[in-house]
Amino acid sequence: MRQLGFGLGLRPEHYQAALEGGHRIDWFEVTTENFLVPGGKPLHYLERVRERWPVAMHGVSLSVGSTAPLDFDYLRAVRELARRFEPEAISDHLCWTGVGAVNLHDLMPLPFTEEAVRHVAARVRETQDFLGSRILLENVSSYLAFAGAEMREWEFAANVCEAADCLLLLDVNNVYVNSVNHAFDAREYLASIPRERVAQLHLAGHSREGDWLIDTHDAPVCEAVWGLYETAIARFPHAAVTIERDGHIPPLAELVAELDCARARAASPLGEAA
Amino acid sequence: MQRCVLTGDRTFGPRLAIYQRAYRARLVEALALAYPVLKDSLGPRRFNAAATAYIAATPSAQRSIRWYGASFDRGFRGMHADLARWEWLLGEVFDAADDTAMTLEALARVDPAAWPALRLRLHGTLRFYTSTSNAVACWKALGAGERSLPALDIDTAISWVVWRRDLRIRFRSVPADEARALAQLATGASFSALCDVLAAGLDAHGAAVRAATLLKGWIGEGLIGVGLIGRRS
Repeated sequence: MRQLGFGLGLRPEHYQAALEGGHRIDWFEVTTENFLVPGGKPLHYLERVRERWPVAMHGVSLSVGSTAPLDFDYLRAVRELARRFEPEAISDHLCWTGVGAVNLHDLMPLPFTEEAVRHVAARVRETQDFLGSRILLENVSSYLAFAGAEMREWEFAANVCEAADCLLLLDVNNVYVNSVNHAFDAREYLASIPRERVAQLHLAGHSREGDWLIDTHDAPVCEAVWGLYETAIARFPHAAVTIERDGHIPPLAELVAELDCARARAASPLGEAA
Repeated sequence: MQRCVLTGDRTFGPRLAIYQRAYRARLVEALALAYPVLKDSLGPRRFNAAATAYIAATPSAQRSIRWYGASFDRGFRGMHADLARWEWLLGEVFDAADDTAMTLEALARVDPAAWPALRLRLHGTLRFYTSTSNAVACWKALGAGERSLPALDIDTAISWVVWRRDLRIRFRSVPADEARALAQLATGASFSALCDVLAAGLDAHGAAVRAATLLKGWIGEGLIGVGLIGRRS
């Protein structure tokens, strides 16, 4: 994945404003499933956006961690979409989303075991072979952990990437959320991820529910996540950066201002000290 | 792997509940997005009750949550069932495959001798809808920010066509003979078969005039797709 700079998740509310340009957004990330439709407005706007900006496809349905067979109808549709729009990257999540015929429409956690590493890595390789492209996997927020973990979350993520030869889309907010929910040191997480595996960073807001943080994408990036981001961008300076917002979506200009903040903090001389 | 036992400490219950709440909330939100006017019409309390019942009875088998509410209408009767079917249909037309509309200029190039056997093609986004209530009137009123009309069942079914033009959804009600003619076209019938459908109470010339009038209107509205199905009926 080449150096793309600072991008935003493209949402229908912003199609028109995005196309008007003049907004300092270097590229757009699109939710793959929103464009797996026969025709109409979403594809029309994606065509227009793609004419002027690089895009990356970010899916939520690969379910790469599930024990259900890979959904090749889905992968075929993703491959078709990728042929049409030539994205800079195709990504999904390091999780499972359902089993059997049931889709939970959620990013469910995996057990951090050697068996799971082998299982996921084999499926990532199969996916990459089918798509003809290396994929990025994103670490997810979680509220539960499986018993019998043989490694920490960051070791699991690094091991899967290594075994599958895929890249990591490191969601800094998810690292922070999990560091609170599972009581670990977020900076140890970042320091343990191999530099060469991280091709993209995600930033987003979260909310609090009792003792836990929930990955809701409905608020600005908070100060604690900005701090962690500075550490992350110093360690992974070539990673493309994206801000995601899926709820309480503000006018595009507000997100552009938040993106400016990501750009400014990337340029600050934090270095390796953090 | 999903059969593994999850962490069994005292926080297990509340942690699992986060996923359970999120599952329900996400599906309720998907239904509210697909059925905004039905939600307005029912009010939030009744809508949430209907959504909760649907979610309990209907695990999602959809890859995209966008299609989760496909059979939500079955939980309603009368106007509300019609309203649900209507909103779902609008969503289908919104996402239907792109198509190009036939122009009068293109049709004018057809050899007059070929007309009887001519088989026109409906625009790919066009869908039919029939209601036996004032659902569409309610949908329009609520969508315009007006108060909900009282639900009303009607004696005669009303036919509608819904289609997309220039990325915008269009719709209108159609008289009975026009509805029959469009349904005939949908089967791939020839122009002469179309005239036969319209012949009730008219002579052959009258039916041909009615067919030509309708066709001109359909093309003006973008109801006919470019390209002919074939020259033989």
